Amino acid sequence: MRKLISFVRLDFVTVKPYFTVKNMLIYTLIALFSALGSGRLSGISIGMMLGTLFISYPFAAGEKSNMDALYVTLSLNRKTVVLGRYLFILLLNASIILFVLVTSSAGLLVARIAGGGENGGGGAPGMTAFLAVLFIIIQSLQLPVFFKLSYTKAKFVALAPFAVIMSGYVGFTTLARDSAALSDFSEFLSTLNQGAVPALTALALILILYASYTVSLAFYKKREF
Amino acid sequence: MNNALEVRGLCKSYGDFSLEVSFQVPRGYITGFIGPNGAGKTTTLKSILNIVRYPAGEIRLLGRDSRDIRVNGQVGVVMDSPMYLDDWRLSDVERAISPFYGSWDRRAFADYLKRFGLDPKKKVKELSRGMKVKLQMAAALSHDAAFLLLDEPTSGLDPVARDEICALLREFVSDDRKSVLFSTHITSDLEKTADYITFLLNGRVVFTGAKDALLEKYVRVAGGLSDINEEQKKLVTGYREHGTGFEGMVEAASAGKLPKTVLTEAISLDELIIFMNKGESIHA
Repeated sequence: MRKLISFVRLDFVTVKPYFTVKNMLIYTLIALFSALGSGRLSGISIGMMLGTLFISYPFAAGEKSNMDALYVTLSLNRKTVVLGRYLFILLLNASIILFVLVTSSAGLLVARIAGGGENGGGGAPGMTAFLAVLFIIIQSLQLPVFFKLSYTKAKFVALAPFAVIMSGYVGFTTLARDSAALSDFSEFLSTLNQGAVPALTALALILILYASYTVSLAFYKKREF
Repeated sequence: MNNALEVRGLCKSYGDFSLEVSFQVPRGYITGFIGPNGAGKTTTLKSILNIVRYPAGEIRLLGRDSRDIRVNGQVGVVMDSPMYLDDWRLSDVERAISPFYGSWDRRAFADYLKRFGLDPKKKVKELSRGMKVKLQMAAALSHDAAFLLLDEPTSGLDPVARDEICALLREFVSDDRKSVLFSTHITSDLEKTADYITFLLNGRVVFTGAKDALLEKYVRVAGGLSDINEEQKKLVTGYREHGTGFEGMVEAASAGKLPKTVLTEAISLDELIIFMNKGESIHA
């Protein structure tokens, strides 16, 4: 457990050089203007999109300096590395959501005080959770690719999950318009009590993350550095 | 003998290249690991650390199977180039790696940085090659390692920096529980520091033992082209002709079989590598 926590810290130290004052200022302004322009959800979408790009940073930095070999010299087994990377990415996502919520809330408050009106409002917690889940699923598809191919070979392949998810979304919405079964399913969901949908979503997300972790570990165990 | 490292029947293949080695590193001594490029030195070192896998063989490091990578916590590693991020400050290096060593000594690390003239605020990318080696040495010596494994640490360093590294290694093994495996092309460093030599050629160990025994086992021979006949030439490993005669090496025990007109003299490790590499016969 101590090694796992130390590895998550190591990943933060690894990506730290990317979080310069200039970059943080840019991210803050993006979150702020997105929130002021089209609401907090837009800020969260952009934040999560950036977060999805950030997940490649430890792989990129690690490949450049052969840090996978460093992990071995630090007595870190493959399981700790993979699990630690997943934990790091989940923490990164949580930090981004928190950062966007704080920044956009501050921005919206300033806008209200200045008489800017409602301008997009706060955004529903349900939609925030939906966006978080969507991007974590994309990341769950990308991570095994990075663990198998490492950064240089994986960077383009890792864009595929975006296409898969977008195609899936378009297909699903088209189907949803015409499908009685989906309409029934939607009605079924509305009959469930308020806690059931988030619980089922959380369960599905945990299963997806676990499957992703298992595949990543299987790939990473075969790698040599 | 009490060995810090025992490599038995280590096998590894890459395409046409195959590695098959066995050797020991005695505890309390510096063992030089030599051989021409492509001999398999780095693959062997990476196998010892479990950075690459090996399908056959056994490696016991500090009395434990090296596949149990927990043993790496007792090993200080200095590679050709550091496995640290270029954008890390030297203080970040400590922040990143120290939590993984139970016996990390912050004061020792700070002292080594000071001794080597390394500013903790500097970034890794701002360091010269020699400074990067010293940074790795500082890290390797700050967690009470019992074994140092160095892969070409002195390549590209000036003689002063190389001498400093060699002095550090001698200081390290002044504690007879500690041992060093030192891979290098710069054999003059080994002539000064190593007690034992393991010599690798084409993925096979051609000699492993005391350095003095290796240097006493062979002699350099030179003479005129007419000094030796075809039968005697077969005794000479790495035989080569030049404008004024020939040179090569023979086993000291066979030197008496050559005419007295042939010059025999002590051989250097450099010459030994060259002649061995050139010679078709392998002397196990």
